[in-house]
Amino acid sequence: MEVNDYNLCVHQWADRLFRFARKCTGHEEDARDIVQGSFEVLWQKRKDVQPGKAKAFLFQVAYHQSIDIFRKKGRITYKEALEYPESTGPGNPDLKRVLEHALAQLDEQSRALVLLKDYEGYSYEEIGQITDLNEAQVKVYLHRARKVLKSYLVSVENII
Amino acid sequence: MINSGNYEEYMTLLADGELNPTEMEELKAFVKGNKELEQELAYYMSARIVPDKNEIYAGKEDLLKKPAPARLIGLHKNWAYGIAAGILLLIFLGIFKWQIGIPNSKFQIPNSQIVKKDTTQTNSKSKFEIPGPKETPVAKQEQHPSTTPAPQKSVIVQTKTTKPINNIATVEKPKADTTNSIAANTLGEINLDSLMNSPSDVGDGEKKIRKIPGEIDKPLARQQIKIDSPPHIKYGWDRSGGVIVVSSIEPKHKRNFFARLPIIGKKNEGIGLVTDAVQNNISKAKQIKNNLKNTDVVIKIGNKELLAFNL
Repeated sequence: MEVNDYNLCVHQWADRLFRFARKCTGHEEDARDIVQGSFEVLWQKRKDVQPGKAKAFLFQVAYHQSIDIFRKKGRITYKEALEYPESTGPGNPDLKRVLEHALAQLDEQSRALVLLKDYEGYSYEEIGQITDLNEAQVKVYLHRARKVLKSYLVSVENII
Repeated sequence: MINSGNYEEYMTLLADGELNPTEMEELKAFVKGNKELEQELAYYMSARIVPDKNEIYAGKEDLLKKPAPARLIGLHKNWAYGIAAGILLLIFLGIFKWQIGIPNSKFQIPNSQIVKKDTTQTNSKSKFEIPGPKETPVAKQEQHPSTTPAPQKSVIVQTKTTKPINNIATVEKPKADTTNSIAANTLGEINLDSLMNSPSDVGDGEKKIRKIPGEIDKPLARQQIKIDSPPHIKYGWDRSGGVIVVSSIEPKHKRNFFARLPIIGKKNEGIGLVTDAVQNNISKAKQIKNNLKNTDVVIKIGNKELLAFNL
């Protein structure tokens, strides 16, 4: 990978990586550190990384860094800090906010799997390569995560 | 086959986008007509996370890397020297060509050299016209002295370059190898200086050349020939009394340094004045040095002598 390829990766994947890291950690500053660290690792190993596989490499590094940060700070800290701003994205704002709270109920690994699936559209195989899991594990973990999210939505709707 | 035990798995696969079209049709057929399953499928499909694209990373510029700057060769220092050298070369060539164009210039090409080209051509022709001893240029002149054209005479008299020598050498070579050669039978060598100093010299070169064929059997007639030509050209005799050029090597003239420079007349004198001035200054400096030889140098502060030495 040359310098131009690296800079192209920055323009293409920095925003996506930041969104993924922010959802994984729940902190904007941690997400910035993760993005910066991921691209630093990519720059150091640019000779070993092909331009076509740079995105998977970046998300793999970001996934492991977010897991490390999450384990350092602990679940409680994460839940206290998980105060997402009012949604300005597409779709139903109430549904989006409920989903964000539902996402916070998941463990760090399942959350990352859902984000990789929904945000980036990776296949089970690709997610397995990023998270060092096999395809069957990814399929099972995602199935469990979907059920948790669906249950949260059903429970919230029943309360409303 | 979708049934009540595995339909949730198919619903999550549909939410993940991992179902193929036939499985999707099977799931739709299974769910169709069952409101509870339709509602459950709707929850699974709503449980997908949609990214907020307004959320962007602000520090991209800090992540970008600048490509390594191209290595610059220090031409910014050398190009000035190159231009100066080129200008000097052009000036030198211009002066040289200008000197060639001036009449009576040291660099002007003499007319004899222009004629020389013709002579080399004629001599080169004669080189190829020697099948036997009877067809040499000298023999032709002897056989038809009155019809000999003027350029052929100049071949003998005015040749100055080394090329004709080579041609002559090719004439002389057969005299050692074959008995049919002219040179082996007829050539005798004579120095032109001895001819010039002989008391019986009369007439010009052309007349004498025309006299030679008539005195084939009179060897004494050789000393009566005077040819008005440069002294470095050596002539020879053949047995029939004809004159041929044996050697035309031009001696190298030793010239001083200023004579070799591409300058003329007043400029040359100007350089002479400069050299005289330099020599005068050198002589003055020698006088000052001699005067200082017997001088004492004393450094004083007030009345105290700090240092005293004799030059």
